[in-house]
Amino acid sequence: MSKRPHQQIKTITISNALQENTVTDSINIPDNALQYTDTAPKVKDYQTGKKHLHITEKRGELFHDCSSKHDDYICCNVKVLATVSNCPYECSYCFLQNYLTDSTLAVVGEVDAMITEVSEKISSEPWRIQRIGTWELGDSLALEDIASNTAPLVEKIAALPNVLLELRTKSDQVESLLKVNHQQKTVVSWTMNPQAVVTQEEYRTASVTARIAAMKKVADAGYLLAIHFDPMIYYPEWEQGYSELLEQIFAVIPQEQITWFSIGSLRFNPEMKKVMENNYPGSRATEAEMVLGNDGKVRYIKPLRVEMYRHLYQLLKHYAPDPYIYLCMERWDMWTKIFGSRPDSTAHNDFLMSESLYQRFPQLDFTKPEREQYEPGYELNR
Amino acid sequence: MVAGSIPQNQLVSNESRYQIYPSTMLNQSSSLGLSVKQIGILTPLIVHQFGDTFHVVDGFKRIDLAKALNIEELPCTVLPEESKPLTIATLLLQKDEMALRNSAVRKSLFLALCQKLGIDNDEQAPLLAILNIENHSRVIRQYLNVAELPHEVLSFCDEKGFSLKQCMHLSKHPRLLLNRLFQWREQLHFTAAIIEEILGHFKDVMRAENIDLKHIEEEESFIAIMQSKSNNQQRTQALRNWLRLRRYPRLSAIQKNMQCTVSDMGLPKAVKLDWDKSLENRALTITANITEPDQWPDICVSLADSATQNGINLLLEQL
Repeated sequence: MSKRPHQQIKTITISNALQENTVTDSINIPDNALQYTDTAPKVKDYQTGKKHLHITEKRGELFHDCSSKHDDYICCNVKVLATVSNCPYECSYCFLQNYLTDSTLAVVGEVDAMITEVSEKISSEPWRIQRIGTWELGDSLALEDIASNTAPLVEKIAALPNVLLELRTKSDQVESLLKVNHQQKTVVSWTMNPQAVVTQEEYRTASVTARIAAMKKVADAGYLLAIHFDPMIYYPEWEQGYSELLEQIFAVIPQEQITWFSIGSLRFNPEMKKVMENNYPGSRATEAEMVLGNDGKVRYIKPLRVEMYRHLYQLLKHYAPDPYIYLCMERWDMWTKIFGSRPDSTAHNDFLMSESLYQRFPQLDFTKPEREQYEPGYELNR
Repeated sequence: MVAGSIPQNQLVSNESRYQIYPSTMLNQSSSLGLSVKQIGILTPLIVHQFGDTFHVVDGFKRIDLAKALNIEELPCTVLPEESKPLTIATLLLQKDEMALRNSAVRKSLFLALCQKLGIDNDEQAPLLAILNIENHSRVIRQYLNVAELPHEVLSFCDEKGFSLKQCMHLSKHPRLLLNRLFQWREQLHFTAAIIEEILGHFKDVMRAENIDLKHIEEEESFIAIMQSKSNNQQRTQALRNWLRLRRYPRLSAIQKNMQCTVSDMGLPKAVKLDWDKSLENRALTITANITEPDQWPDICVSLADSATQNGINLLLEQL
């Protein structure tokens, strides 16, 4: 059992505008521990921010392209909806420690307003299968047992055509999802690493066993699943560690419900290294040889990444050949080295992912993807 | 305020609560020494009375000289016991304004002194404005962190005119490593970038190999570099290369193989093959430096050779 994140949350405040709200109603602590406020708290320090939870109204635009999208990479073209900010977990490699200007742990309480923004923004491309992740600035499910905006979000997203919501987590907190009318329009996904990495680098998160058990619960509740092997972390026994991890997962989880796998490795802005080392002196994540690429990110050297990705890819093909597999934040040549081929572009990759979903999950009643719509003029560019 | 002579043994200098700079930063002026020898101390020190003792506010070099020359009494201007810390800090700033404004290290030490004297943020705001320091807790904290660097490091950073950012980087390194590196100062050639690189590599090597600094210092190859008869720049370069090889064993081995592949291709000297040494970018750059027309046909033949093609294939496999 993971150490529950709420054990470190010292105060909870709720925006006065949210006194009558489903998220506010879901808060699972005594009333006298709550405080209503007109002023959103602002905590500068990353770790102090994790101790204060604020339920906030929706401020500004929350729905946009994934910020990892980059012209040098072949990306998956996922969209993100920032329903949470900061995270109660403490992953040594988390980019948030060098990213957030306000580190207060925040959950957006106004689900209807978020759905309105999403509906408006996707209305110009009704043919596109939209994948929308809520994990950009925090774990999608880590706060489920304290304050949840997830269940209403899942139900309301299910009513939108051609949309898949992705809840990405390192937790095992799925109880609140099990009785929701999701209509399979929500993919619950896990970031997975061997237990040795979880113990060393992903403090406070659920164990591998707990994550797999939670995966099984949501699979039994009919949800679609995804697994992100990202970031893969090097450690001396990584090969055996990842082999055993996949054996553990696929002993329990049916590949038929898995939509996609992503593969990526540890990467960060150069200035993050010292922040990581200061915040988590016990971390060994940056031990391997790492270099700075001209996209401004430090990564494991290419030969090591290729070795790790190829190993994982072979295992995935063995255990689960059908789900779509993509690389995250890698250049075209890495795709060719790992998969033997590559999409022509990010738009093409988006099309291929949509096609895979359309073919494998006809019950979702998605619009048949047409490459010309995803990648206008692609034939002329060939 | 009272002017008069005070016996040296009643003056507190090294332990003065107004000693901003460590002794390593107080360079003795040779002309001051000469002048004091000839006509004694003419300009009074400024001191702050605490009961029977007097803490030096201004005149640390003069009192050092007085001690060396056995001058028993020194002319002093005495600030009364009830003088407020802010008044004295303002006086210190006024005495050393130019040096303080131009040095991130001195600003850091001045702010640390203000903090030690219990001057609060509102009180010190006018002083910050004079020093062009943003009155923000984050910025002040950065300066205060820098002030905690070892004295040797502070002196070096001050001497080299390091910026706040450069000093800040140093303040994040382990003290033990930082102290040791600066003990090698006479043997190595330091710039801000080189210091950062060496410290970063040492830290990474120690963590990756699970060894301590002492272990590295006892290694023969390390001793050989540090005891070599080369000049400081050559020794520093040798140390950097040694650390890089140690930090990037796999990358270094691949680079070496790639260089062998290039040698085996037998390209004319005018032709150079290059690639991104991080291996991140899959691209080879071929340049030909042609000075005579008759070089071109030979280069063309050489580039069309199967050995060149095989070599290029091998190199691209690594990229």
